[in-house]
Amino acid sequence: MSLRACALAGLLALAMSFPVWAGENPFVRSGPGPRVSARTQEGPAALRPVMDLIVKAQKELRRNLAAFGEDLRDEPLGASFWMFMLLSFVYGLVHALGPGHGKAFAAAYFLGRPSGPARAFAFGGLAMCCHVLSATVLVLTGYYVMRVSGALSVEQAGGRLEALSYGLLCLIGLGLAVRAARDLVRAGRGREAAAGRSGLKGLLATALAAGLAPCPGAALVLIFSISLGVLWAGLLAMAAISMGMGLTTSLAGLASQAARGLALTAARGRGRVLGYCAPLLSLLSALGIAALGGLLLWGSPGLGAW
Amino acid sequence: MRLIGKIIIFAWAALACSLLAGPAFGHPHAFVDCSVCFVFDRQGLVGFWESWVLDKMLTASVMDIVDADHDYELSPAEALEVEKSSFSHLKEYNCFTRVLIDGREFEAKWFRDFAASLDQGRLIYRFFVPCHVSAGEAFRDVRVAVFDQTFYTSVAYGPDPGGPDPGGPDPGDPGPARVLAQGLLVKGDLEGLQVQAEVRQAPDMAYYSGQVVPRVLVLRFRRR
Repeated sequence: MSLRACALAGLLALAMSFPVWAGENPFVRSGPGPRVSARTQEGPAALRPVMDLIVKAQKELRRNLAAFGEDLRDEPLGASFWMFMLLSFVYGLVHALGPGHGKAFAAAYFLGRPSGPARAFAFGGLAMCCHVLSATVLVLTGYYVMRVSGALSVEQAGGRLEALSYGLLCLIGLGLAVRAARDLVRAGRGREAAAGRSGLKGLLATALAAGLAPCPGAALVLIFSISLGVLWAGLLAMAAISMGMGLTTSLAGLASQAARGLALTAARGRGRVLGYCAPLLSLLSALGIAALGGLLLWGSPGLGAW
Repeated sequence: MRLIGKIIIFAWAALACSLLAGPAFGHPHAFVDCSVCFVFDRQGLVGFWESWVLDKMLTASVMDIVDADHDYELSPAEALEVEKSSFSHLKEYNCFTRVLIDGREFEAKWFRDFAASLDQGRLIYRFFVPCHVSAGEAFRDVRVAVFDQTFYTSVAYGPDPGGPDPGGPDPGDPGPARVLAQGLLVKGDLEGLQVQAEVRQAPDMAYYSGQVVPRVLVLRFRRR
């Protein structure tokens, strides 16, 4: 196995090595949840300052968002409105920098198939629109249809949607893996390899499945807006947040495309290696999606709700 | 050399991609400023009060459930509802509280005298954690760290929110508090005690795949 393949295997292993913690809000959780252990967790220390920075930035953004949101009550279309929108966008961008938000799936998807930047932006935009829309629908349903609580609605239905999302991703990954395996067999027989397929169906399915679970961060902003009586601003903020998150997720796709390009460039000039490299990347990326979806589904507390 | 360069770049790109991966949720969605006030009597440590100040958006999500009359104020009945609808869930997470006494784990599972209040749009939770540690000739070492291992919540130590102490002037809650470090206060009978305090990073408590290192409140005390 070449160094490049080792690096790729390392990528997938690392991508799947993160723990599967529930995303439940412990302050409003409506059902039994996991008891937290006192076990120390190991991991690379290099990321700690980055994570610290992301957390601090989000805290500051949320504090300012709340302040500008409160100002909206007195001055609905003044400077506060534009700051509220701008900070919502930045919050989305920074919020999605942390673990999650479909970046792993975007990275795995684009590692395995030839595609351009437009596809990466389409993936990120679609996935995060769906992610925020899911939260918006649940909050509004909780408030205005069930007339209970938007926060509880997100907690109760969110777990199920999360499990559904992971299950679908696992199935999609398996489907893509079967196709990639066929391409690999074709390459082995000396036929022209398909070099990964970049059909829109696969992109749509993966992006929508990755974004199906509701975004708790966006839900909190919307609930806060409703509490202030500025629902309209909250809905506009949802659009801004999804754009910000979409941009970050797209960047993960672009980085993955670049990584793929490097791998294929390194293999160029070695005809036989190149023949295998593209379908192998495709297979590994599909297996990565399936395994990541499966692992997250396995650890999802929402699985029991089904 | 060019090939090695490509491999290095590829490895970095792969690492960057992998580091972006992880669970769909779990990164902080909630922010809490916490302070811990250690309470002493003649025998030593009695326990500690925790004060949590929730951020405004987290507050809105709790108020969304308990604010029955939709006035965004906390009536006495609604304050009681906070305990039932919110604090009771937190107990299942040990209230995010990890305690080490002389290096040994002490499971914080008793939480009493919970009180909730609303101040400037932020909910404040206060509760007492009984934790008896007698003072002796040698230093006793008590470490308290407050962090949410699911990383839904980011907890930072901050100034005590002030206000009246919940629970009233009972023996476990005597007198005013003294600030020894950011988020670390002491109160009670400290006359015959030598007390040292600091707040430091706790890499041995790292969580979220080791990516987040909480800070721990370290309190050492002995008889003079």
